[in-house]
Amino acid sequence: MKRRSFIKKTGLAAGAAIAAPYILPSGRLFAQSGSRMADHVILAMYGGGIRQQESILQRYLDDSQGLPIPGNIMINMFNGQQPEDKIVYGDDGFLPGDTPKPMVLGDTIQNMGTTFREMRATAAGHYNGFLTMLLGNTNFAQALRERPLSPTIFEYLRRHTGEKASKVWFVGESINNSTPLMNASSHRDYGIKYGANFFAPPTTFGTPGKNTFNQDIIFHPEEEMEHIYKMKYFMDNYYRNLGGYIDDLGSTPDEKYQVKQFMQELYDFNQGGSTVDCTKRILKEFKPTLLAFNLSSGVDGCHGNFTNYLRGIHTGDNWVAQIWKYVQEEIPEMSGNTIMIICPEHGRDLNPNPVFDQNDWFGYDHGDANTRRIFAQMIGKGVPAGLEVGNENNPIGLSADCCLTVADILGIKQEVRNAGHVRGDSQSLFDRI
Amino acid sequence: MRLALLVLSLAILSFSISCKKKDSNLYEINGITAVPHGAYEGVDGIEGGKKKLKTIDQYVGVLYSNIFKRGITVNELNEARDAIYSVGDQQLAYEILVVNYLLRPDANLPSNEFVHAYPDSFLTQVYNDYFVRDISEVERTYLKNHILNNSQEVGAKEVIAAVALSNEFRIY
Repeated sequence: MKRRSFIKKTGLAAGAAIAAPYILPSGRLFAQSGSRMADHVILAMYGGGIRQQESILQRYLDDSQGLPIPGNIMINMFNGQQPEDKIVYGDDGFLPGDTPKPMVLGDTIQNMGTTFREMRATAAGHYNGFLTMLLGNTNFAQALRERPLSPTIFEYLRRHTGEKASKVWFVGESINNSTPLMNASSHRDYGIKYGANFFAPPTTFGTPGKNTFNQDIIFHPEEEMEHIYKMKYFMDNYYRNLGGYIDDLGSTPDEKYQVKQFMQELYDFNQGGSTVDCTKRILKEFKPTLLAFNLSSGVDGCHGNFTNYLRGIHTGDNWVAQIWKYVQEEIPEMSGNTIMIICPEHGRDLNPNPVFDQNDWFGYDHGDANTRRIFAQMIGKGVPAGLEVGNENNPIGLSADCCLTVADILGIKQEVRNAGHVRGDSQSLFDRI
Repeated sequence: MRLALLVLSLAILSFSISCKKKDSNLYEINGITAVPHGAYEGVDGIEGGKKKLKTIDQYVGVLYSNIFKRGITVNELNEARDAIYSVGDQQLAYEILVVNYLLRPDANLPSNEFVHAYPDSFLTQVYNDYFVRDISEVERTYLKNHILNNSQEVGAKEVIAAVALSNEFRIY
């Protein structure tokens, strides 16, 4: 009798052990291996291509135009005095750009967080630069309008923690450069079903979005949409039985309804058209576990307009600071429980191109060794304050480290590493401290 | 002795499992899978007929002409394409687009009275227009019952929305 009972129990246990992995949500097999350092991460991909000389080295016009005028134009991120002459990077006042924006934060991110003074960008183009931060490698697609080949940090997060679609966001500054396709890869084990929600605010909440998505009535999932979903699911099952299936983001009907209401609210109040405003609204509404956003704020205009590049750097600094301040002051659920990582996708050349702007200043492209020089900062829960890592003679860190750093914060570093797609020399920035 | 018998019986068992009965009733005829006309069959196999994902332009263009019985303007198509491309959850974007189109006063749809009085004709027409194939009896039975059993809530808009949002409408 005892033996029968033992065999029965053993059989049940074995059956459960075999079945359990398949009944957990989202393809997740086992619980995440690490603990979370914070429950929310914001990845600020401060893009456009920023030279070390005009950012952390605070050289202003000194190392670019042969004018001995140094100064700090990223006043929220770095300590240092602003330039004293030839002020062109601010808002328009008496002269164009002569009025620098006021400081947003009470103290600099350099004082409140950790700064990696000298890192190396893993890629030198905007598309590749942004992707390398999300993928942790350089396994991009070969052509435009294609998804990357290996998984993004969004997919790792959703697959290995079972995170809902509405908790993972990517906000892109435009629909150019395949940016909307960076929310998920085409990898067969991951893909769009583990991807991030995405908006390109100037399009989604600009004229194209308003004219297409503005709704008089939003169908409720338990009322109008109920029958539509029932019939759709029947048709999809029929199609699936014949071998066809199309993956989607996997938002639940309630999540879709929330996103639709959110969009309509922004249309009603004519808001959300700027990346920074939209990012703030998403943070407030969805309190994402991971939100990545890319900014270029005109920085890439440096190819032909150095003046606008300086303005773009100053504006980007202001926007990043606004978002951090907003999280701390307006979203109590995230305040004190969030880490923000700030990293440009790459730098720019050491020597100028021959294009002049309105101030007779040279432009800069991105393609030489100086392009690989970047900085990064981290701020938030558990991040050492006032710490500086690396310097010009001792570069520490890669832009590809952003992927493992986010994974480290959210407790899935080992899972991401084990998946075998991140670069071998990539590490979490916390491990580099 | 007992062990030898056990080994022998296991060997016989494994041989009996590994043997496969040859199907002798094939008569040299190729097997086929029965599918609705025009749906999936083709020279390349079951999905040979429809296997390519529509681009956003194609989806919007076909949807628009089916609902409004006229072609979409270039401006409207460009705006819709950019707007849909700018949303990560494409299914959600299509849901909003389809509902917006169906609620527009110039949508050229059959009346609900017609749908409830002649569900067979309505479903045949919808399947021909949207899926470019005939409806199967399984589909007809399910959808007809669903329409007639929920006639207060289900009319032309709801059925067309479900068809337009189905996975099959996204391929060609």
